[in-house]
Amino acid sequence: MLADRRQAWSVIDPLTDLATVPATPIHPAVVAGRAPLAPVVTDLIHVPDGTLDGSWRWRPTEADDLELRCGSYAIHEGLERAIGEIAVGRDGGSGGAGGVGPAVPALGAMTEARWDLRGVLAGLAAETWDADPGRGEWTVRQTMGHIFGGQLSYSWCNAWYLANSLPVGIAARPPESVFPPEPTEDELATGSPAEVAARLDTIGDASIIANAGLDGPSLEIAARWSGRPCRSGSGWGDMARTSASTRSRSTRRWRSSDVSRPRPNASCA
Amino acid sequence: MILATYGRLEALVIGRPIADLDRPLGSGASAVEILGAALTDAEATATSVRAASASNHA
Repeated sequence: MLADRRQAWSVIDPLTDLATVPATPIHPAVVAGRAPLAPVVTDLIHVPDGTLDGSWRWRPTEADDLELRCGSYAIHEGLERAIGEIAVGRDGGSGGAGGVGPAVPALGAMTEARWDLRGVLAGLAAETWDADPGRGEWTVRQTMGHIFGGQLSYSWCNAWYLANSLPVGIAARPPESVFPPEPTEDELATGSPAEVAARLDTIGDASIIANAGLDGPSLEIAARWSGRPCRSGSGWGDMARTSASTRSRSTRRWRSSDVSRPRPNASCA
Repeated sequence: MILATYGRLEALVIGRPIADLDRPLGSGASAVEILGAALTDAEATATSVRAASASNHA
């Protein structure tokens, strides 16, 4: 059922159909570069807490053994070093946006929120995804379905606002007839935890590709979110905020719940 | 924490023209080369940590 509807309702097609600027593809090396992240997280999660005080020698050339816990620190430091190397090499350390379009900083915030959320998900045991947290709260899977539904709605509606360029205050929610049938939140959250988590990439990447090339005036085009008149450019900020706030609330909920049983060393993810 | 940090790294390489990401930066390596090297190193380190953990645990 979902597969059929997804064929008819590709995540990317409405963004392509309504596009007002050329696509900005994500570098293939960036997409391919994500592949090692899953084994990294799997390896670290399978390190029992009780072994973290054990000895570890990263390279044969190292003079001394380190505590095993330093391995996860080394990974973190390596990523931080790469961040610094790119930022300084590109902008001389000014921290500037480096000539990208005005939508890119918000899309970057969206990217950060996405991976922050994936870090939370990586620490959850598979059985936790469908466990009832009680008090009428959503399960992890239902929460993910809601995130997907919200992110898709932001993306598609924003594309429609950009394509129609209505006067401020006049923009209303796009008529549903302009979009293909939309999967339900339950359908969007179907699959293994890895498949659902990876769906964040599909939806997030589609927004980046479609919107990174927008110029400043495009971000000022009128839109409307939750009945509130706003500019179209606020959509991606809202997408990042939605992911971040959902992650924050969900983390508290899952941690306070009896069903939340993070795997050993899950904080590393 | 590691995936969150990776997100900050990826945020630096999205939304940019491919040619921009392929040009050498100050160190001589391009942004995608720096990204790829960091991830390759992360994978090797995680493998080493897990192996050492198993060895210590045995």
